[in-house]
Amino acid sequence: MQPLESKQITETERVGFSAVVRRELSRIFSRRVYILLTLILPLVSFGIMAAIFASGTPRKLPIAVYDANNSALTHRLIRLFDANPALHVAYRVTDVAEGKQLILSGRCYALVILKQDLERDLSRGQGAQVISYYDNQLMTSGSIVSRAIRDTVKSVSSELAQRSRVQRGEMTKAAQAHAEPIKVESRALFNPYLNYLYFLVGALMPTMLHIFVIIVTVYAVGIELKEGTAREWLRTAGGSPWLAVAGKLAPYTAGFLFVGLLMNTFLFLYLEVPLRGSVTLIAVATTLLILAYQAIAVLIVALTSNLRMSLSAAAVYAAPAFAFAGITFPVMAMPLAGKLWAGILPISYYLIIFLDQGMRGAPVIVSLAPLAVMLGFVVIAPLLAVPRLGKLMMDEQYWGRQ
Amino acid sequence: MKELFRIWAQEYRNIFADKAVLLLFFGAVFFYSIFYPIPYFNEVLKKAPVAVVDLDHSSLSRKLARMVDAHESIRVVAKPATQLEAEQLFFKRKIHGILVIPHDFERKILRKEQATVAAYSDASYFLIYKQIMTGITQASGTLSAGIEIKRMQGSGFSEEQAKDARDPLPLVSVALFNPSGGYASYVVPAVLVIILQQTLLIGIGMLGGTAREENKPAVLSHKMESGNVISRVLGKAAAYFSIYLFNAAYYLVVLPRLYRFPQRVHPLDLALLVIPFLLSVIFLGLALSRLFRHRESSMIALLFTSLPALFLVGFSWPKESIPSWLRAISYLLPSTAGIDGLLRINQMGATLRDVRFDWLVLWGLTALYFLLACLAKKMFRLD
Repeated sequence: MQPLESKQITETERVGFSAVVRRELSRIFSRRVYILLTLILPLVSFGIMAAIFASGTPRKLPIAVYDANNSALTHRLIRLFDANPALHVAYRVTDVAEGKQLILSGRCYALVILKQDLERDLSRGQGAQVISYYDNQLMTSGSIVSRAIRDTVKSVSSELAQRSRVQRGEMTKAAQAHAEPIKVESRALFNPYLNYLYFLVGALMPTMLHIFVIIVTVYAVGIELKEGTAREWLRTAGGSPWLAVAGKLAPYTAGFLFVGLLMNTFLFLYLEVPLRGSVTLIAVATTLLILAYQAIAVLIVALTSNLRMSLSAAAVYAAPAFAFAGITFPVMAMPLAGKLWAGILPISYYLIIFLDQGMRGAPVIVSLAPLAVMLGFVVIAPLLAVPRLGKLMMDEQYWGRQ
Repeated sequence: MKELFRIWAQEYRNIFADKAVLLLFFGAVFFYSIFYPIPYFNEVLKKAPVAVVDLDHSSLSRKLARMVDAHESIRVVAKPATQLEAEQLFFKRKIHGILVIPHDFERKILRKEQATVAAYSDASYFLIYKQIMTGITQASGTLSAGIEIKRMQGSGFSEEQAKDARDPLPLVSVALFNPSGGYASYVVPAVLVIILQQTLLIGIGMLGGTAREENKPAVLSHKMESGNVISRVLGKAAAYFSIYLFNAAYYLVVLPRLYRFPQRVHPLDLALLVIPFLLSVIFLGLALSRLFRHRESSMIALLFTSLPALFLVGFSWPKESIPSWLRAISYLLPSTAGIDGLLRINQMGATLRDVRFDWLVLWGLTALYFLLACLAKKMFRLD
């Protein structure tokens, strides 16, 4: 501990950017909230997100089968269902109601009904069918399960069709061609195994990061107004609001850049999300993401001039951003209001660059426009924010407001 | 008992005297109910843009392109001459799928050989991928089936027989609960419950933080505040509970109707599940509020938890695929059992019996957090 007097002397002697940085560092170490929210919790949240989706693609989702036919055909179907990597025949039920109850209570995602006369109807060549009920409220699981069931039944059905063609005396090759005049060879571009980890975690981690950036920045700036320390902060900066803001935010920028670097290393090296484009562009975009949300946070404080209101505004701006950014539900399907809101979120542009330069391996040129927009946030928001913030710092009527 | 009512009434005064808390309990709850569903307003993605690269230029290839365009989930916005051109459109995000029809397409069909078309779809967006694949597969499947049935009719089958013979074991697939696969119906009901939980936790934390901020020199007066810990916890809880019953009714009964989400609810079962959900959230909030020394602390500490909490529920990602240790921890959040149970009762038509596991978890959490809240209050008094 330095004696109080000498501290005051150094403060009056040294003003400017580095003095504000030093002042901020001592503030950071005086309350655990800063380090917690800048370094520790972001990393914890990345870990949780990665752990949730660690398996990449859902496997062995439980389904129930009601086999009223109990024939060689139905036994084979059940074996094939169970052999499908997405499915697991977890329940054999004895009536439809029991199966539906299993779906309702969340113990399985689908009920397949193999009716009583299935084999007989099939050999007669009429009225044979398999019925499946699947849970489409839980749409991810429901569609994976229903697709797997459909593929299984279809493969059995076309095998049966072909066998009866051969029996009718068609040559095998012709029979095959008859089976399906047009065959669709489908390719899932960029993510051939439909890995949810690539698709979701890659987007969720930067989304978490931007929430931390905006909250920490709003708090660090707003608390100066709430606790009435803003004038002293400005004085440390030698009276320049620009230096005050830059010096104050620099330690957090450094911290978040470090977290961003860890995030991208974790995503691309450890989780092996494909990185087919420009690493530099992703690094630049991550930097701009952090700077843009710092800038917007300062703007929010400058506009609301009150810590609690600015935290609420930041919450409205950042908390629902994942829904608007268009990863799960695409922006092109949104109504105009949704498109406009997505347009004022830097995270939307970041995720476009992230996908283009990561998974998609798009040419650099297509990422320049979204990059320019992000840069626009970084430039324009401070121009609007800092002069006004400078006035607030001097004006006591804005201090201590709840 | 009298003590309890006094604290209950006092907490109402605290809430209604605090603009910020009012804004959260009523303003935010109302605002999010309108704002959050905006992206999903159209429910489904229709007419996703694709390109058709027709190398065949035959009447049959044009027919296929027309049928693809006519499918409700996709639309043909470009017909580039080469695959390379299509690729460029792809990277410019003008299209999200490509159908390539090879040059010998019609000839092969006429020769009764199998013709192959290639479909590429954008799997960096899963919903777009799904819509485009469905569109192309169904459109070409329809064309393919038509050709096959005509051929079979040519060799003496009736249309019925031909249909049976080409797909002897058809699958009838029935989508339960959300038959049209609407995205708002899928996401919004779950998110609404998260909003109830988070606003309640943050609001209680804000009241607690404010009390600690203001009463720092007045620990004494707290000590003089007679009465036991239990009536203080219950009195406060009663205030929050009564307010959030209205919010829950708005979120779980009014909004689903307004937004026309599928709803098959047994009202009594819904009420019986809402009670332990709200109580567990409230007691958790009271226990947590001990940690908050300032008015804004709860907002800062809890805002980031919404997304992880939502993905831990197991509605968007199957619970079977979440690692079991994480699954176990996640049950400490009321949202995990709460959302699962409320979705099943409110959207899927389950009865309380079907969700008794969730119900028991929520009562377990209620008991646990009640004890923690009492302990926290006790410690506060001994400060």
